[in-house]
Amino acid sequence: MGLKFPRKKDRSLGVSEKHTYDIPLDKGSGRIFLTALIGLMVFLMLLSVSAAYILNDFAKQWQTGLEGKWTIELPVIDENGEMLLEKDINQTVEKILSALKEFHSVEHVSRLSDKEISDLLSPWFETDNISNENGIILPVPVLISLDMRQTGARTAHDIRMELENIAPNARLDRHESWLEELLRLTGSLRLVAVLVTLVISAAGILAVAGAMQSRMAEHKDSVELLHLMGAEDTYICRQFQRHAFIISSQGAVIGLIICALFIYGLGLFLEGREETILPSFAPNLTFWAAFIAVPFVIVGLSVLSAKWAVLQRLQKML
Amino acid sequence: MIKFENVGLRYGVGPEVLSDIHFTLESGSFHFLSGPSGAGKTSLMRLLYLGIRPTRGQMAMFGQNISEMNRYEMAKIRQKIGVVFQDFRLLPHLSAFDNVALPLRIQGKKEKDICKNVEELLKWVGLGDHMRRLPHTLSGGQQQRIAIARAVVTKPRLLLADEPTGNLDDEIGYKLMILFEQLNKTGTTIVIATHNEQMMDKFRHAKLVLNHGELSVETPRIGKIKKILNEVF
Repeated sequence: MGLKFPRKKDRSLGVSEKHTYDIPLDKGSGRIFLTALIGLMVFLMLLSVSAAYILNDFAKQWQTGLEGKWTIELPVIDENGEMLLEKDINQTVEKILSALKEFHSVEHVSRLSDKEISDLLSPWFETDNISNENGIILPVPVLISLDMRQTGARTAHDIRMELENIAPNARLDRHESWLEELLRLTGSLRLVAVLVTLVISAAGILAVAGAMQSRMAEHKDSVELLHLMGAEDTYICRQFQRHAFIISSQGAVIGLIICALFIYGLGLFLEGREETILPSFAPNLTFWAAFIAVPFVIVGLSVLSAKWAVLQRLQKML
Repeated sequence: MIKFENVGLRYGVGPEVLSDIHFTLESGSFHFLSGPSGAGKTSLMRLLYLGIRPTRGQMAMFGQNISEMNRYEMAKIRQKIGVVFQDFRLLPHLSAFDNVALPLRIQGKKEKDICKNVEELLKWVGLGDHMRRLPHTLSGGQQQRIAIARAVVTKPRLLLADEPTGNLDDEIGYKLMILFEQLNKTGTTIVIATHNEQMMDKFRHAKLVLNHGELSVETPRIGKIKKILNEVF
């Protein structure tokens, strides 16, 4: 009536639990440490891979966004720093527009409105400081946007010659130099992210290999006994591989969850802030595939490094 | 089946603990291994169960030269050997059942067959009610019976036992010797290292006698003559 039986088999009663390992690898404090370490590695690797992927996406967007786009800058102040009359400026702009429309290599040419210029500058200045209801109050140059059919050096030379005739102080910007620098910077950052990923992978391999060899040393007698019973190296190795698989899977899930929460939190924090300076990033299927693949890669590497480390040590035993 | 030729063994740079060991064990033979403490019985047993390699001489087991074997062949040879260790060497986290089942699992037997064989054997050695107990909760005698059950569960071609009846009462010890004899009748070669003169007298088999690292072989008849001579003089 009032009797209660233990629902779970209890080691303290001297009754064994379900047989899982021939070598008691599932016991011991090192297990928690290794799980936490792998969780941290998965977290860092996911961040690196995400960063590399996002930078790659930004670089692509910058490249495609500026492909075939040139800009002409027409200063609104003269050599003495005096503001030019708006009427003169408008006349010069009209001349430039008419001249460029004659070029076959120019598909479309238009002057950027004050609102468009204001939007471009708003990330760096308070909007109120740039313009008011009467237009732009800062001496920002007039910007003329060109959509190009051809973007060769010859075309650029011809346009510059034409500008020389109409407005010698106007400047043609092909966006090449700063885009090159930006792409070089993102390329370097991507490389750093890839290197960090490789370093983390190497650290993971060494950590798991070291942990497995120390577990082998801890259970040397049991391993030796299995050998004496005729266990092949692969039989013993499989036990360590399974142990590495379970531990790294647990660590990978923890790392994945933490990283997903971190990225979600970062997304909430940056919501609405980044769009004006950075292109928007919408993760696609490839990104999610890479994101999900990272934990599997870590688990695979852990199992392989466990196998390598254990077989190395077993080869030295009789 | 087992052939030792001029086998010598030393640990590190120490003196030889076994010198010029020369003997042959035929398939299906039954031998006691005796000798005073420190004579090298355990070292000889370790050589026989391939726990160590000799430092000199030739050892052949089941027709294969040990020095020419690769790791895979060595494992396969070990699967033909059952060993009862003096200190039992049971795995403390495994139940009596799982300890006995271990050699069968290593050999890749089906779980259904393992259950049947192990349960049967544990009942036979009187541990049918203790199958799920961990070794540390069992007495020394019970642990020894588990160790014996583990050694014989695969019906090995060679059974090596180091003081197998040391912790057992006479009745259980006698019963286990009967088990060894039955195994021997089915073709298993048996070597039992023991100090127990009574047992050697009762079960009259050839003796390998080790003395100061040197081995001599005594058939039951020679042993009896020696005993009479010792009693007379």
